[in-house]
Amino acid sequence: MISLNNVTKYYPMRDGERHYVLRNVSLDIPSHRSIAILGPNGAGKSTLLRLIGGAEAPNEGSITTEADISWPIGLSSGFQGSMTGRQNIHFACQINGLTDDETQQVIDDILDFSELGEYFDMPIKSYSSGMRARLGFGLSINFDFDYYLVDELTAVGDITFKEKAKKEFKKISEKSSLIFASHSLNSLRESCQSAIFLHDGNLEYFEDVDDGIRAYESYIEKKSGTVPKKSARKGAKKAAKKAARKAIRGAIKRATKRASRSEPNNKNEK
Amino acid sequence: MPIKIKEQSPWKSQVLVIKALFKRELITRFGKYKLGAVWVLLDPLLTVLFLGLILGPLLDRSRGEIPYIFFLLCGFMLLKMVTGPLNAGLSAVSANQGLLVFKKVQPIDPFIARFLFQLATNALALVVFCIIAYWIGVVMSLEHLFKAAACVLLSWLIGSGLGLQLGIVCHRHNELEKVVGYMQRPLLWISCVIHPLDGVPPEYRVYLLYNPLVHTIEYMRMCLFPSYVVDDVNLIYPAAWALCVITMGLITYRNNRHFLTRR
Repeated sequence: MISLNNVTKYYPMRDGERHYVLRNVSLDIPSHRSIAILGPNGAGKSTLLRLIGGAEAPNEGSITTEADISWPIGLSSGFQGSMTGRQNIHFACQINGLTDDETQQVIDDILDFSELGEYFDMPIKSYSSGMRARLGFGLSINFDFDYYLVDELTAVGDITFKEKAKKEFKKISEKSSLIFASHSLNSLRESCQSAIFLHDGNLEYFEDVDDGIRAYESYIEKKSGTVPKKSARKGAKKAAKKAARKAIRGAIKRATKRASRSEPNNKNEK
Repeated sequence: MPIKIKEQSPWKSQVLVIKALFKRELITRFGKYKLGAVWVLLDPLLTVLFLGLILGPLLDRSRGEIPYIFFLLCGFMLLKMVTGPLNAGLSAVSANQGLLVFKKVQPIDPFIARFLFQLATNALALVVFCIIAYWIGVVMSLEHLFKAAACVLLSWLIGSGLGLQLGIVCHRHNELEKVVGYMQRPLLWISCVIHPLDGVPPEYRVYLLYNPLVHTIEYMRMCLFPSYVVDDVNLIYPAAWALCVITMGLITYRNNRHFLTRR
């Protein structure tokens, strides 16, 4: 269990005012349940994960737990751009007190999982966001935690990575829990049982993830001012799907063309 | 099979973190150069050679039996013991922001790792230069080796205290970084790096003696070269400085530690 006791977190803004992410919030996050973190952009989902992971401290109140919690596994966090993937992994293993054998085992496993190939020995700043996600996720699943904090990780991955991540999420939820912040409601529904809805400095806990998603959707609708009809929404969804499929097909065509054209150049760059 | 992270004592955990950060400094500092760690020696040597070539003929060269280059090297290395950690501290947090997500890496750790890195590299260079000087026949005494080491350590402690304090303050107020840069310019001239304290008229000597670096640099020369004699310098004054700046640095850190982890 993770207990938030009267937690307040704010950031000072330019004009001297405070932007509150959490305002005097108390909540017990139960264990052995995977939890979705919902909230509009800028509500503070990443900050909440950083608070739970201990990377940042609350301004008031405290967060107490007996459990082992991972660092937030996200796109920007945990890696130093000037070091290569291998050096970053070495760093993470070293600070956690792993032996050389264990470190080697972790590196082999990550090489296999992330499929980075030669890029494993390139500086992280040359990685695409998908490659970063693969490396970061590969690192953290090599450690045994009670809670894994995941921040919008799968959004940037390709299909293979998404499949792999789904499998790993399933494995994780067998004995640990996931705390997963994302805007992709489908993947939240798939991997989480409960939900926390973060808005206006408040946390709402929902035992059932679907209830949380409903609350989130109705909040967004209220905020944007328009309440679209159910049928209209369905139609729009269909149209949007069609358009998306078309766009993806076009993009794939273009990408393959570009790739075949630029392949010889790529070699030179390396 | 996932690995369970073993629980460690805070002390051991911090040692592990600082070791890892030290290694990271080594990689990023020297990894990009073909000559690698040789630059630890080349960097001060080239600076001093240029300075010596320009200033040597201008200034009176007879400082006892010390060749001007070694006179200069001695002062310059101690100056680096202060400016090295100071400048390393200025970017310590921003250069390691990505690694601060690990709960075990606290913002003070990159500072400590960088200060130790400066101490190790500059002390190594200093030892090598001393060996070279001894080898080519400069009259040196090893009698006061401990006092000489104290001069080095005190300079480093002053630099580290300033680095911690200014690093945090500059992280809060970016403009100050520029000011700190300008403040360092005159250090070469007011710290007795390029001239001996004796060369300064007595009525101005009093003001120079407020600078703790004058004490450590001149004291160190006195320890290493038996023919070199200076009055008025002591080690108590720079030690008091070191104590003050480190205390102030740690207080500043304690008051700002939550600010530093913020992205």
